[in-house]
Amino acid sequence: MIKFWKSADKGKSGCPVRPPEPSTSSNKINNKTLLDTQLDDVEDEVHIFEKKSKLCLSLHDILIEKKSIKYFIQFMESIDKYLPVKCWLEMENFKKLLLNTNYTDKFDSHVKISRTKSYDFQCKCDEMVEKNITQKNMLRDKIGNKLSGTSDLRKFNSSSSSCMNLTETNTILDSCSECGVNNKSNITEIAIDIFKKYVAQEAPFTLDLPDSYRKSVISNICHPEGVIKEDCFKPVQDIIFNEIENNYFKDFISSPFYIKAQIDILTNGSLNLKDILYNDTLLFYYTEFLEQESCRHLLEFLMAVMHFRDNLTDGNPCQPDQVQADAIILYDKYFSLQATSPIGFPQYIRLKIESDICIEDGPHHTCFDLPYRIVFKTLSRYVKTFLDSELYYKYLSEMIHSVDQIWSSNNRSQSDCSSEFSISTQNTLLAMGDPVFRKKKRNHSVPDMTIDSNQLYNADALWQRKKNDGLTLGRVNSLGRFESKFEPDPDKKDKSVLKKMVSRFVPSVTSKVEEEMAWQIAHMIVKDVTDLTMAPPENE
Amino acid sequence: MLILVTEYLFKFLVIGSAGTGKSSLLNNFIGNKFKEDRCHTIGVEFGSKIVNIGGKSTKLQIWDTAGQERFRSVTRSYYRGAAGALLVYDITSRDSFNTLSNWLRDARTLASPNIIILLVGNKKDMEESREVTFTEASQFAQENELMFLETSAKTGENVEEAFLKCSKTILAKIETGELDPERIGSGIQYGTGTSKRLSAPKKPARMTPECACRV
Ligand SMILES: Nc1nc2c(ncn2[C@@H]2O[C@H](COP(=O)(O)OP(=O)(O)OP(=O)(O)O)[C@@H](O)[C@H]2O)c(=O)[nH]1
Ligand SMILES: [Mg+2]
Repeated sequence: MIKFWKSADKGKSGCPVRPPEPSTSSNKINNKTLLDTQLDDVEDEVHIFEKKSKLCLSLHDILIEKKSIKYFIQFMESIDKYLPVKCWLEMENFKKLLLNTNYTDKFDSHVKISRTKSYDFQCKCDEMVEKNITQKNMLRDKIGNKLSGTSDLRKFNSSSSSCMNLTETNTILDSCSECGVNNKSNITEIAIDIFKKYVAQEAPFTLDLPDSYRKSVISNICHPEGVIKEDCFKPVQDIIFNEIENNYFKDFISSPFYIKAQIDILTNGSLNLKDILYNDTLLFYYTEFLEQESCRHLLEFLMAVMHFRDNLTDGNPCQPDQVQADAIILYDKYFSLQATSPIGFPQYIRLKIESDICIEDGPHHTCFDLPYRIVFKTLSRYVKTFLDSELYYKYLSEMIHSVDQIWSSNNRSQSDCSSEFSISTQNTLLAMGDPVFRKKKRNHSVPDMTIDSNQLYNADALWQRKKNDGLTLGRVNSLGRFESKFEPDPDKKDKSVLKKMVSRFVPSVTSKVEEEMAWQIAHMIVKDVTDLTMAPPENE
Repeated sequence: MLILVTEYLFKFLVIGSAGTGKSSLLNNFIGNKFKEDRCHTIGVEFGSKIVNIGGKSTKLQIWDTAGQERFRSVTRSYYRGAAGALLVYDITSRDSFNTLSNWLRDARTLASPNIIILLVGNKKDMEESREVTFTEASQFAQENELMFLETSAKTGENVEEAFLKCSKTILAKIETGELDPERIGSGIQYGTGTSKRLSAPKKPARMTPECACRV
């Protein structure tokens, strides 16, 4: 305490001068933002300091947490590298399956396989000591089951390398649950199946693994103690994971698939402040938004506290003096009554910070946590407004646009691409900013109006259509003037073609409003088409 | 309500060793008074200004980062997606000049590869304590394909110039198609939506009474 105010006395060196309590800096009032000082609970205390944005996907997020995995698979397929992913996933599923089985297993039984002396890597199962006759009777059945299983295996094995001939798999199980037993014998089979497919030397989908990996998997499956562990494929999984990470992941990040994954996240309504803070591009937009809302200093404050904290928690050796100096800088800037960027914390917070800065061995890294949480909460509230803002809309459309652009420049050849379609759907949705309009349109889905999306991407088909009078929108009359079929001719008594169409789609009982809506939509469509067809050729 | 429409918005960085005058440069540029006393930046300080370049009004969103080594790892995370940067050293400090290549390496690897960097030798007003000559700095700039200016945040000499020169280059590259503003992470936004409301800021709906700021 003493030190803080001693330096404060000097005043001129930029250190805090303790201001007289009744302050007068009322001219700063309009620079303030309403803070949310009511923190419901401490639930996300740890959470809010975690530096992770949902928008920045790592390979771990994708493969292990299965986030946006479909886009990653699409990407790997597009570069013809799906195999490693497929293999990795199958091994992962195996692991999960085994974990589940083991978890539900009350009798702690395992598939037991052991190596015999006469054959290399030949697997055999240990016999378990059975305690009662009922179990033994059940066992007999199981052995029967198992045998039929092994004969299949043998067939399967004959094609693969000799070192892995699992010629005789004699599994004996000591579980009481019949289905549990089936699970377990299946598990051995699945493990062998996966091995055959990817790991074995002559596997149909060879991954070019070093021999040492193959061997270690073999010994994992044919464990001396006879227990298949859920991580028996781990060495292979690890090597695949690294390979994908090093060779393909960077390309994925810069591919339209990644942007599409991000668009999904951006539009699923789950975005929170952290997602923005730890994504550079979105932060760029959010910063601009906050400036428009006159509260960019709140963001500045968050970042400053983050730095202050990191500096103390990253294990850097830190002199208490320096930490205190840092804290004083923050105090001067945001808390003091003469603060240069006042945030408007209530007095009790300012007083608390003052005393926290002045404790014996310099302030703790948690010194500003309370005000941080308050500002974090306030800025989280701004996220909601941000997500409805024009800026956010702009960001989204830029994302969508860039997917479109990359697709059209790189992948024109892959014309039948489903992703293009999904993007254009997004676009249309966005184009219809008015939610009421959107809802109406959905309600009025007209069965006969579906468009074959494939045709949209086959430009040639458009020109190869049979000429059909029924499709024309109008005609050029003898005076050379275009007469629309849809503009009701004042001379004619009957309804225009369009009017008839509209009334067909809109049941007669529906309200005038709905019919009006349908009319508007129809008009828009017709106008778009006529605009296109009636536009003079560009070279004229 | 006044609406200022800007054509582009650029993300701009100010980087360089501690005490070279980064914050002073920013403050001078956005019209704040020069301060003699030293106040390290912790985190990032933002500034923004609309400049007119060849008839196009362009808004700069400037990120003034902390120069102290101990904050380095955090500040580096803000490099990404910047369109331009001022790399600042202090002409009266040989040390600040010697570390330039580290800063440059970070900027080139972490920011967008197309980032336009202008080297700034600040504190030009302190000629009597100069440790780095203009010639050797220009040579460094040339070797590393940087633009170069000497400035004084105290007198304001060349400060606006530095920001403008960098922005001009970015705009020129947009016009030649070398830079694509629509590429995600380019550090450039179109300005159509960046119309700045100068009226009272809109506040989120719900507010608790006691958090209204009292002064
Ligand atoms: N004479 C003179 N002094 C300057 C000039 N620019 C900055 N200074 C002084 O240099 C000191 C450091 O300036 P800052 O702007 O805080 O430096 P910085 O680069 O932001 O430092 P960090 O935020 O720690 O990275 C201050 O005392 C300034 O008054 C200049 O052009 N001339
Ligand atoms: Mg600074």
